[in-house]
Amino acid sequence: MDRRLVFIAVVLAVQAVLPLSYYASERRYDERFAWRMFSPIRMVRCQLAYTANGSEVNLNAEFHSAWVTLMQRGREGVVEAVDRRVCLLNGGRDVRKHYRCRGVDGSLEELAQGEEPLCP
Amino acid sequence: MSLRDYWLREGTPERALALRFAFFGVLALDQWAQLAHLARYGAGNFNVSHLQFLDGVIPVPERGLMVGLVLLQIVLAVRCALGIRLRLSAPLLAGGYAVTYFWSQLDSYQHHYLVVVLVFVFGAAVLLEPSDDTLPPWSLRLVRWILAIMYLYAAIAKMEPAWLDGTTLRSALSSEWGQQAAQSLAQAMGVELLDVLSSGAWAAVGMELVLAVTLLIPRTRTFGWVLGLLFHLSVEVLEFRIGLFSYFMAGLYLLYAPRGMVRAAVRTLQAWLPSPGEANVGATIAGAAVVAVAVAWLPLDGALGVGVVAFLLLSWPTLPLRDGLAQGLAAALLVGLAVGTDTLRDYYKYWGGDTRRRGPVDEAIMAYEHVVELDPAYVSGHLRLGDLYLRVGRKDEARAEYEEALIVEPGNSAAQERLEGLGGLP
Repeated sequence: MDRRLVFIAVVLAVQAVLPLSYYASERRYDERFAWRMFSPIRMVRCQLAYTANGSEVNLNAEFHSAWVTLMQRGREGVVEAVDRRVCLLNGGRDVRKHYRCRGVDGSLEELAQGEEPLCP
Repeated sequence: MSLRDYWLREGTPERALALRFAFFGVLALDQWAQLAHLARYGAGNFNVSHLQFLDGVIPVPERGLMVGLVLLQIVLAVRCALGIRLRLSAPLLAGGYAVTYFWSQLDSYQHHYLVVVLVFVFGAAVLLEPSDDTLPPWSLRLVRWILAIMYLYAAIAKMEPAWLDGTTLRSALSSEWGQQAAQSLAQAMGVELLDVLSSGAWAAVGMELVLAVTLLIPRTRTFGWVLGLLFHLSVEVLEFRIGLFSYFMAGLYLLYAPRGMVRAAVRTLQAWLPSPGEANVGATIAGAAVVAVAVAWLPLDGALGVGVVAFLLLSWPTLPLRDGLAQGLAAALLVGLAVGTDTLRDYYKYWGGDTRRRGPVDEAIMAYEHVVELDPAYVSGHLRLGDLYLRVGRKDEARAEYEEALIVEPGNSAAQERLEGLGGLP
């Protein structure tokens, strides 16, 4: 078979299927590769805060503001990486996570309220 | 018509040429705009890549390396736009662009993902095609299908109450005049603002669905071309924050423009160009050298190294006279952008802004010294630099910066207050 046709078929298949992975995933705030320009999810605003032994961790002092912006948009992969970094920076301390996201329609989703220690 | 006949039939060569020029030309400009934001890479030794399973295996991207990659991509994009050794330039550009994009979620722009897909398609297409230095017609057809899929999913994403009732559009509409225009329209119609925005939201979904279909069908393509251009133009005019996405789309809409119009435009352009001429070592080397010097001259990390790489890359193989000299256009573009835009200043401004918050302060001072050197009329730069000098006890230098701010903008209250805090105005 003509390799150009194989290439076309593969590209089209990937482009048709890849966006569906968003709808099958539980990662609601991660819209990469799903062609969801201007979706309501893009307008979600999250508040992410950590405490270590009761004192607030200053995220702006640890992370570039571009990463903080991605946290505020609820990007799950970034928040997980931030979790790991905050634990690393506060080894041995009692780290708690407080995380809530507000939708463009005003709906509030509590994702973490600091009930459990974050770090193993 | 069989699938093979559909995909591999002949196309309009002028359309491929026009699209190549527009798409890669906008890409060169877009990459230049990206330069301003590259100081964020590697900050705090933190990174999350798009391919997260690789995190921990691949290193955190370094600022200097990213600058180098993007500068090379600008040069390669200009070469692609001009059709110079496309079989070398396009795959290299595709590889470099994929590396810079997938390495970090710091770049999550949807239009950059679209660019990743398209440069991959074009880069692979010129390798798969026996003929040299032109975008194969089937790659243009493939891009039409990719855009149709994109429009379809973009419409699906908006089929939910928070979009259709206008609330999302109200948040996304950032420009003051856009909001005022919507408000005026609502008053004129005697309805609520949200009703107007809801109508706009429904219209956007409808248009994306119509575009997904009409742009694929030859008989309706001209209608889709007009509709789509108006759609993307209105998105740009209303100042939604989407970078150069509208410009990319305007370039890509050459895929749908009436054939006669494209042919006439390209032939007129070609009539102005000299013939390619014989392969010419002198012109090739001269063009490569001019580009290399222009790159190395830029006040950015690693620019000298990138200049050397650019020279080696561009001086092989030997090009026809016209193409060799045309490489000088890349240099002209770089110098023009460096002089005519704030990108280089902003690169150091954003770098300094970050290190001012997170430290180290010495690095922030260095960055802001570059800011005021590149743009002596930038008042905020003088104020920030003065503040940083004060933070490390360099009072005289701080005073000099505040005084400089007052020279640039007499009566600037922030500079006056700071000078008074240092013991009065001079």
